[in-house]
Amino acid sequence: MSKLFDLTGKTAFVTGAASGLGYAMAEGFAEHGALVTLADANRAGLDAAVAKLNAAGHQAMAVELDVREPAAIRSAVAGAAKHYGKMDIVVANAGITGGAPISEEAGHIENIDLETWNNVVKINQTGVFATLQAAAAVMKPQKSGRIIVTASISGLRTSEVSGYPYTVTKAAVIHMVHLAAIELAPYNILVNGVAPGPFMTNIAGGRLFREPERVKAMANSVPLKRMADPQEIKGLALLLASGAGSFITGQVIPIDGGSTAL
Amino acid sequence: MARLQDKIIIITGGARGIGAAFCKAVAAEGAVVIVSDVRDGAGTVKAIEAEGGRAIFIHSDVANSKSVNDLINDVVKRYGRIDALVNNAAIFANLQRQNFFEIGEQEWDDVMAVNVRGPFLLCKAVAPVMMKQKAGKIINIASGTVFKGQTGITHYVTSKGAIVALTRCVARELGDYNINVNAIAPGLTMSEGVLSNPQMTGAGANATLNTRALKREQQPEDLTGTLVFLCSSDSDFMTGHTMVVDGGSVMR
Repeated sequence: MSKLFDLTGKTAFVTGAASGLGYAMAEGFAEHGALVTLADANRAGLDAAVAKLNAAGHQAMAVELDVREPAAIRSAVAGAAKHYGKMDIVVANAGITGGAPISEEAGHIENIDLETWNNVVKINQTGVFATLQAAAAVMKPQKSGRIIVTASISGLRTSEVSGYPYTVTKAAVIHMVHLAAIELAPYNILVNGVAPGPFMTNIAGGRLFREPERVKAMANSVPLKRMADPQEIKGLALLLASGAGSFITGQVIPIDGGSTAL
Repeated sequence: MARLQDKIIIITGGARGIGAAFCKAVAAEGAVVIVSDVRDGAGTVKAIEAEGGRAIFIHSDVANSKSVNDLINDVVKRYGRIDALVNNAAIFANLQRQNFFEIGEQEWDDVMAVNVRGPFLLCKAVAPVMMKQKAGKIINIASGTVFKGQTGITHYVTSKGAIVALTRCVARELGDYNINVNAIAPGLTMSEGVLSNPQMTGAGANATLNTRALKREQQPEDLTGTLVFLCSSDSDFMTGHTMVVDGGSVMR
């Protein structure tokens, strides 16, 4: 049997890993043999996530981390790399929605307060950039590494269900992926993004689970006529983290049931 | 655990080059491979069997609807279902580089017949089978050249542009049936066909290599991970997408 997707002995660091897509990616890596470090600002959620992985026989550790603090990201990634002797995979996943869609009055341009805007930029854009900086700092000397950024189809295609801060920051990280892919390629560091569409996560404070009618409408607009389970991000993340994806770099790959059909 | 255990997978153009690498890769993941080609595919079958894999060869000309329908009917008769179809057969490696205004009508039509009508006919033939199954994977092979343009092979690049469009349209029409339709867009890959055509390996190839973030030649094996992913349940929420696998020449 081929070892294309094997991650035995690889180390991975995932931000926003206490739940949703971040947790699923960390779990997927662990299931394929990786030693995973889960980072999240939610201490209780983080501990539960790590306990679950370790109970399943995987090797996971927790780092409490607020990606609004760049110095903390650097020391967390460097710390995990030091602990394991290397860092093979870093996923800049932590993000928030913030800001109502433009289809709602609260999302109209005059109603977006700059405090909200700045907070989303801090987490979704500066937080991702600082995570890439931290990853590059450990991977450049190694001359190897994989970096995955969680973007969004909102960053690829705008629509009236998108809000300003989220959409704009997700678009920004897509260019970040392209630039970093070019700069880091000589160091054998591959940089890609995933652009999820409608996944059933606790995004926006669990809104999707409270509004079944909205979810039904969302699902109907997807060519595959359904929402995705967070588990379904695992395969794409694994492709980008493993030997199977060794000639893929600078790509932001939609996983959206065909919504964008890019 | 093998990722494609017992899956019935048809790969056109499987006699050599990228197609042969695809056949070997899915066989290594446990699939039963139907190697299809206008050339003799016995070599690919033999190589798979030597590794303990399962494969058969069925001769087929993708440009010919009768031949395509016979292929699909034959596979359904033998195995009762089709889990994945890989539209890989195409005219490329033997092309002579020329300006677009020098390309003759016959050559243009020949390229379109194999590279566009072929995948169309195969999608059309396999659709009823997969719709009945309420499951299936179609993977079309496009090209990175679509996203940047390429001199000397306008017919080829245009045909591959059509494949990106075909992928999007068929994905939208078959989404209701839980059928995933995606494409892979490789960069210039050092298949045996390409290696045997000096026009494909000279200065042009070096220029292509220099546009990549990862500055090395692309090998058929660089594409197999993505192909296995798109054939497997790991890609169940992806459809209509063209995945660029070219070492970072095209970024999107």
